[in-house]
Amino acid sequence: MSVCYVHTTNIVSNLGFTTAENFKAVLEGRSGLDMHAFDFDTQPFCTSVIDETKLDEAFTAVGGEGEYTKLGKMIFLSVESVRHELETDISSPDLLWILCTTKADINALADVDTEDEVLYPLVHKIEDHFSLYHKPMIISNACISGLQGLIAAQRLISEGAYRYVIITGADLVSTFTLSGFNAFKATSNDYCRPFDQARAGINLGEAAATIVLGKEPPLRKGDKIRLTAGAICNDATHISAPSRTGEGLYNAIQQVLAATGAEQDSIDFISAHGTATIYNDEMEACAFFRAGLDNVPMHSLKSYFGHTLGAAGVLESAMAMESLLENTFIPMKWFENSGVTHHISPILYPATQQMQRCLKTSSGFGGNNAVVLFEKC
Amino acid sequence: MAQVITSYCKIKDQQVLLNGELVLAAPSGNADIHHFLRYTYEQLGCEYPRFFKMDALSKLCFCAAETMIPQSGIVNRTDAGDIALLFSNRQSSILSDKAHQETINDPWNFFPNPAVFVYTLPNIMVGEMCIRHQLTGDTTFLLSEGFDADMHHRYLDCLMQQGAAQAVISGWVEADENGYEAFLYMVEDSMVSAGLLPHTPGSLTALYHNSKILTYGNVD
Amino acid sequence: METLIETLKLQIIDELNLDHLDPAGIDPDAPLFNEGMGLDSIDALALVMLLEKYYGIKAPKGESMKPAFASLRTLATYIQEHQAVPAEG
Repeated sequence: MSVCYVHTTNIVSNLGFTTAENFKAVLEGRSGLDMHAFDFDTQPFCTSVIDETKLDEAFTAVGGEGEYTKLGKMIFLSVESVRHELETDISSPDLLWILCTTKADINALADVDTEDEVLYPLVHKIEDHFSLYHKPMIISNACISGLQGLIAAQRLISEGAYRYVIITGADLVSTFTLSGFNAFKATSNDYCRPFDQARAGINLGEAAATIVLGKEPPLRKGDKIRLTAGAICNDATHISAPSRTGEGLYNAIQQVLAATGAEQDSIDFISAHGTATIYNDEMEACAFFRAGLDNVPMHSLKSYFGHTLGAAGVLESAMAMESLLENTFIPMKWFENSGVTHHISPILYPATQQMQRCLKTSSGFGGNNAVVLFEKC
Repeated sequence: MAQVITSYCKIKDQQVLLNGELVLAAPSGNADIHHFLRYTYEQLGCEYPRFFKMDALSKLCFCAAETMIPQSGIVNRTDAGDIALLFSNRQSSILSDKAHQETINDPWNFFPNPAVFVYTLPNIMVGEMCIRHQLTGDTTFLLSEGFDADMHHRYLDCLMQQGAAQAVISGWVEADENGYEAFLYMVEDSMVSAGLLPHTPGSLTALYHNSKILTYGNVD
Repeated sequence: METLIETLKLQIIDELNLDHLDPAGIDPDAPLFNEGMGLDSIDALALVMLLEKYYGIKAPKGESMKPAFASLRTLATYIQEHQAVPAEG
């Protein structure tokens, strides 16, 4: 498997509309999570929701016009932001766009009768506006969708199918998903606290995030990031509960370490999935421990952005890369005491040190686990 | 080594075909998907109570996989971790999405059911297959407006060339209120390719559109 | 009690996708989970929803429902004890 290179990234969340804005907000300790009322419950839900007025302004400012849904505007803004950084025309035959989403515009299902209305109008608008040469690849593989987008892109680039791949992950906070996770007793009434003793479940968030990968390193000067290896493994134990022993995640980590020859102590930090549910965080801690990674500093970014579903893997990878480039750790907000049975090394302060590589992991419903290794070069 | 399609299965119009041969036809009359899937499950003769918990999409995929995977012997030839799954459809988990939506339309009668919600992700169908056949490799679920033979071929080829899989079980499984169809196929590397169907976009398109034109050894 | 158990059977079959089971064949004293009716963790959550939907009973967060979910009979007893207005006068 050959490496590919990160050309640019963007994050559209309620903490900002660029990766730099989001990174700055997070280092200042700001979280996008807040209490929001939903009409189906007397209790508010702690969620990270993008302000529509601000989004409209930004959408219009970059030349967006016409009928776009909220998710459409988020995706448009994110793709438009990376377009300027491309070394080729966005409509080039060398370029593929991958969209990663779990539920797309699922809110539309309350009014329309077919799933066609939930996804394809939005995809066609983006395709047409940017005059994309190839039909986009759309990944819908639950919570690993985003990270899988990066892995798929790397494989396609390695095989010579494309020179550039734009990967966008995007999902909304919707009554559809919120009510479902709530029925699963997986949502927390309070701010989510990944890996903490007091963790009580997920906060949902919405975001669009984009990463551009290329076959060659970007032409710009300075430090660069490359995606060295990625792997996906299934637990094959349960459709919603993660494996107690973290089998799939452990296997995926082992495959990535074996493919790159990276030693455990050469990894500067792990950006974990860390949804703040009892079982997910316990499973991850178990897999990290089994892989000899329990002394590697780690964080989950869910306490800043919430769980952004299909966007999570792209968003959190973009943040991890920024962390590597800035040689600055992102601390885990609201973490006080470890609430997992295996030893972990949570990042508590925004300390600075020279960094070289990090591991990004995602796990999700359906038993999926995805792992990627990023390296500075 | 050449990539060849070693087995394929189609379910459509109340019929189950394996490698182009009819293996099961439900009595005509009741075209209801649930009725047909239950009948097929019973005919398959497997004891798997989890089947009844699944949504129609997962059941449909289960029936096709159950027809194709055991007889192919793939799990005896290939390590479970080296078999990847690559699936796609057009309308995601539309039937379960609608069922969940029904339970949340009215804020005053708001009872979302976790047993329904869990199936509102199309990849759960693949997760069910992993559990049933103990497959622990790479899994992918894609959405596209129609069966995209080029994308399937290209990405499956990537999975095998990049060492992510030794064999891939792939397919298109769609179920909505108007109908259902499942097309599953299996790709492996083979030393000999004579008499075997090459893994090309053309083969996939032909198999997807025609249920009987290609059989092994003799072409009808 | 027996009427409530029969009603529960139908509600459970419907909400937990157990269409293959014959209500008459379900033993009210057999375990609901694992070897009995073969329910799993998702079914436990669906049972919590069922209690709220049909009986207005909100399962308290953090409290184990294990004793109530032991069998159909224990579930029926739990409903009778916790329902504000019992279904069977």
